[in-house]
Amino acid sequence: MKFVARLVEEDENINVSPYSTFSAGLRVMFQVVLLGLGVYLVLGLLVDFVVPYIPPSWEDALAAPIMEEVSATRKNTDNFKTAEIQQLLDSLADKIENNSRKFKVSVVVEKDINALALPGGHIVIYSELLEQIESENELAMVLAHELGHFVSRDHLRGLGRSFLFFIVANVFLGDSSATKSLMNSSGILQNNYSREQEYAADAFALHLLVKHYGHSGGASDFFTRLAARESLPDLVHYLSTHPASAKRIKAIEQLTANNHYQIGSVKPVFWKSAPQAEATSTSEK
Amino acid sequence: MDSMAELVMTVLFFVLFTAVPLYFWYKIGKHFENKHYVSIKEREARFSKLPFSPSDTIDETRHVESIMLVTGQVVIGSDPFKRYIASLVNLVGGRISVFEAPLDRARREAVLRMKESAAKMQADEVINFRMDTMSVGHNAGGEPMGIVEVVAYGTAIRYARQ
Repeated sequence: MKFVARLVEEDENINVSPYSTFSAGLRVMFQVVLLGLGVYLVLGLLVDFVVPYIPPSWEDALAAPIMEEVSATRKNTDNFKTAEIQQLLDSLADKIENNSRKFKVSVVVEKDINALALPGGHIVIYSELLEQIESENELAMVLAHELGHFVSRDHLRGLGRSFLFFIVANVFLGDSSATKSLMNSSGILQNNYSREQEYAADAFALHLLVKHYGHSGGASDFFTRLAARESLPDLVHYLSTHPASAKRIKAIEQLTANNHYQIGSVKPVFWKSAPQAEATSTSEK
Repeated sequence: MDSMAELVMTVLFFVLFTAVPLYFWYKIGKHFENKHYVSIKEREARFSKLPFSPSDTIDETRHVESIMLVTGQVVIGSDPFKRYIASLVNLVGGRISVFEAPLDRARREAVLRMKESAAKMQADEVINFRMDTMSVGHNAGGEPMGIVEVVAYGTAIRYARQ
């Protein structure tokens, strides 16, 4: 038996694939992205299909941990007379047809202009939003807008989609703490509704406002004020999830004209009726 | 229009924070891989005259002067590019070609180191040649680190000189 010495040449090394691993990597990335999109689309459609049939009791069970998260990380404030906001909300909810649900409002200290519709009928309003409100009618419009999300169950759709987003992100980034914090900070609490859902909620809110006050005065005031400030950086966040205020104002005005709604005078907001000095001192807390 | 802008932003984000770093890691990994292959080929040519075989037969016609266990072992790490692509392939299935080169390098390097230690005792051949792998590159309970380990060993034989 004789030993034959043989050297492995580059082009005949069958143990290493001859193609570039980088292009192979790009190819597999493309495949995974396609797969992820497919899963997201299919499950997204599934969420839309299932959501209308979720009983409220399930929703309340789902709500408990989310509300815990909200109350654990945010501070409640009573600077804006939450009890009276609740009264306004209740009277608005009474005017929704076929509604047996109770809704609960809470005000948290936050620098963003935002309001959230969370599972279990919880509406969370950020204090900065209330700072911008000038009349009761505007506040009713904001509350009615969130009620609109509840009625079309957008809040559950949003949750379902964030949950999907979480799964897809998990696949790409791994089960890391980064994924979890992403889920906690933006996924659950930042229900990203589509523009269509926002317009539908606006339309619902406008009709409810007219039912409550008999006219649509103040409906677009809040958005007009936002539109005037739209270049400010703290609004970037709000605008990224909501249609541009100018477009919403236009849509609301269009609806008002089409339905021949009267535009009456607005009521002052209840927390501003207190002396100015006291109002500023409490808001600084 | 807005969704178009979002798509462009997403693609831009991907290119900047995923594709560019991955290409950077790919280039670094490729650089060290090429350097290693140059060294492997040079030494393979140098040690090509030293026979090694997995059989346990020796040349019965010659007198054995000495025998010795010779080993060669090597641990080769991967780079983030290889780990990322491997984890993606693991989702859809297929051959993980990014780990072919490290395994090839580790196997050949281990054999070379074994041959080097056999050459030190001026052996004429290595018989009973075996190869093995083991797992030192797994941190407790964490993600596999994509480390390739190979041990090559055999019995070096030195025949008596006439």
